[in-house]
Amino acid sequence: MFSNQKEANSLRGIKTARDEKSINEAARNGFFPLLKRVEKSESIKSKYAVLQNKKTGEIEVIGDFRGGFCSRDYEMVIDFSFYYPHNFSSPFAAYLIPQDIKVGERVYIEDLIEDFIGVRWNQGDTYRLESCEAVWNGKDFDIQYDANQCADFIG
Amino acid sequence: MKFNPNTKQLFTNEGDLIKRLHCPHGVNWKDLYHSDAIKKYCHFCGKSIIDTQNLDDDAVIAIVIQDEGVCLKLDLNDPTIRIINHNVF
Repeated sequence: MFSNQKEANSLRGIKTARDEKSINEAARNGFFPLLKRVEKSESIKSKYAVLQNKKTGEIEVIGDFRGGFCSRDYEMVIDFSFYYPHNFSSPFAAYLIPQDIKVGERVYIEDLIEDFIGVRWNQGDTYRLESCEAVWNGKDFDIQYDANQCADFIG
Repeated sequence: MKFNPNTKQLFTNEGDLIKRLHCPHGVNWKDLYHSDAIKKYCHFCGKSIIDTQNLDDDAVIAIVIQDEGVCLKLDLNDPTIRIINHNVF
């Protein structure tokens, strides 16, 4: 994701505000809120299926094709289905632009507003990229998005 | 173990939360160098990231108990991990 790891370590972090109150608070503190619609991408999708115990009625939700759902006691009452797994409370959000940002400055956006695919899994699921490097072009950020993500998670 | 890639939460098979994975630096495993067989050194934090490939619940819990701030690397295709996409716990 980073073009250069040593360089990335010193990048300025850009915050995101996701409601009216925090956006206005940031504006009063000298940031310019760059407003964007929160729009879900149809490319982001997770799958689930629901198993139900035939005797007790209890359910189990699974998200993985690999084994574990072939039990005599359980039947699949909702077959594997894909859905958009995120719920953002506000339909808009803003990147908080520092006053001294320079055109061409490379930054690190900690909470992306836009939907980008961060991880593709070979079972068909595509997971949302949470944060990313970006370059300020004077009006907006050019997201330095690397589409060649693997199925690893770190943290 | 069970892992929810949407919330980045790692659970035991019984549904107990082990930890939430979060990397503020967006580190990629493939960009790092091995410091031993299951670890890679992270230049950002100055510590090693542990590959959980083929480790069971008890082994990962022991690692996290020893160091709550430990960084883990998970592979969705690891046979010891089952993916849960819905926030069921």
